[in-house]
Amino acid sequence: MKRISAPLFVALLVVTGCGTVPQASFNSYLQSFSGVKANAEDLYLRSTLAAENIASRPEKEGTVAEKFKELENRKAALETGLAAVNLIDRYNSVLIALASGKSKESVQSDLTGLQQDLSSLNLQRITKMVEKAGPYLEVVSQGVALVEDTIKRKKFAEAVAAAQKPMAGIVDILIIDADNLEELLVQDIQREQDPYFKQIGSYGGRVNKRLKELKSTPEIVTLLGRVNQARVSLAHESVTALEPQAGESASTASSADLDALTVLAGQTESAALAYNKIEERVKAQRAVFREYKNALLATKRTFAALKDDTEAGRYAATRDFIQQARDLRMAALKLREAR
Amino acid sequence: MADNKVSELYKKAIKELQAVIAHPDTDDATREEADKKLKSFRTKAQDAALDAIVARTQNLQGFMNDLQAVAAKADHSDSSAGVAKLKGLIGEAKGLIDLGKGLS
Repeated sequence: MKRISAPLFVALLVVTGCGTVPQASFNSYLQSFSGVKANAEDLYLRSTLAAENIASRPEKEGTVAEKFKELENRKAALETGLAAVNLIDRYNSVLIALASGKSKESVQSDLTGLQQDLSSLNLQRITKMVEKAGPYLEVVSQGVALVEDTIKRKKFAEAVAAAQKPMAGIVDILIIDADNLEELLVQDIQREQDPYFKQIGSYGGRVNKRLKELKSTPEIVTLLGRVNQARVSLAHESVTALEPQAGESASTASSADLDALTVLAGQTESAALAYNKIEERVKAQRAVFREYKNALLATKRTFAALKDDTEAGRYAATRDFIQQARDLRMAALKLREAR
Repeated sequence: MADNKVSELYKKAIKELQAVIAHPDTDDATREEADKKLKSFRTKAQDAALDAIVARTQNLQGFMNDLQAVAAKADHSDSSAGVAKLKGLIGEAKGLIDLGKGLS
C-alpha cells in the first residue's frame, strides 16, 4: 500500500485550497519520507532487541521480577514511539483521503491499513479495538459525504491544520529519542570491541616489560615499530606508541626473546585489525543517526516552509529534504555493508 | 537535561576505565577487573538511554491528547456525524498510547 506521510500534504491543502499542490515535488517527498519512516522503525525495533539483551546480562542488577518489569516498561515505551508514528501516519492518510475527495474505495483502503497496523501489534487490548473496528466503515461513507460539502470541507481542513502542532511534536520526540537510541546501539557495538581492546592492553604490557629488560637492537626496533603501528591504528587516546626503555641492567635479546616479541607483535596486529573492523561499524552506525536526525530536521523545515513560504521556498525545502533522505539511505546501506 | 548528564558521567567513567586497561604498566588482574567494570558501565549507560526514552512516553501522551482536542473542536464546530466519527478514530490512537502508559 502506498504510504502517505501527510502533515506536509495537509498543510498544502490548507494553504492552496486543494487546488495547486506542487504534485511532482510532493510525490518525491512522500517517497523519501517513507524511507525515513522505515529507518525510524528499524532503529526502534533494533533498540527493543537491545533492551531484551540488556535484561539478561549477568552484570544487570535487580531481582528477576524487577528486571522483568523494567523490560516490559522499556518495550512498551519503544512500542509506543513506533505506534505513535504509525498511527499518526495512518490518521493523516485518512484525513487526506477525506479532505481531497478520494474515492470511497481509496479511503476504505487507508482505514483497512490502520486496522492492520493495530492488529500487527498483537496485544490483547489492541485486538479488542480492532474487533470494534466496524464503525470505521461508517466513517468512510460519512467522510465521502463530507467532502461533497464545500463548507464542511473547509472546517475539516481547519481542524487538520490545527493538528499540525502535535504532529510536529512527535517529530521533536523522534529527534530527541535519536540521541538515546544512538547511545544504546553504539554501546552494543563497542561491547564487541572490548575483548580486543583488553588484548591490546595486555600485549602492550608484555611488550613493555620486555623493552625494560632488553637492549635496543635493530630487530627490536623493527618489532616495536610493528606493535606501535598496530596500536596507533586504533586512533584511541588511551592507546599510545610504546618507547624503548632499556635500563643499565638490560641484556641482549636472545632468539627466544625475539621469537616472543614476534608473537606479541603478530597478536597485537590481529587484535587491532579486529578492533578496527568493528570500529567501522561504530562509525557507520553514528553516520546513520547523524543523517537520520538531519532528515528529521529537514522534515520540520519542510513543514514550516510549505505552510508559510512561497512556492519557490517550498520547492527548495522539499529538495533539501529529499537530499537528506538520500544521505540517510546511503548511510544505512554503508552500515549494512560494514556488518 | 538530567538524563544526558547521567549518560555523560557514564561515558567519562568508561574512558577512564579504558585508560587503565590500555596502560602498559597495568597488571593483567587489574586489567580484568577494569574490564568487568567497563561492561557494567556500558550497561548502565544503556540503561540511562532507555530510561530517558521511557520518561518521554508521557510527552507522546500529551501530543495525542492535543490531537484529541483538535478532533473535539472539529466535532463542536461541525455537527457532521463524519467528523464525530473521526474523533472516535483519534480516540483509538490515544487508547494505544494509554496502553503503553498502563504497562509502565
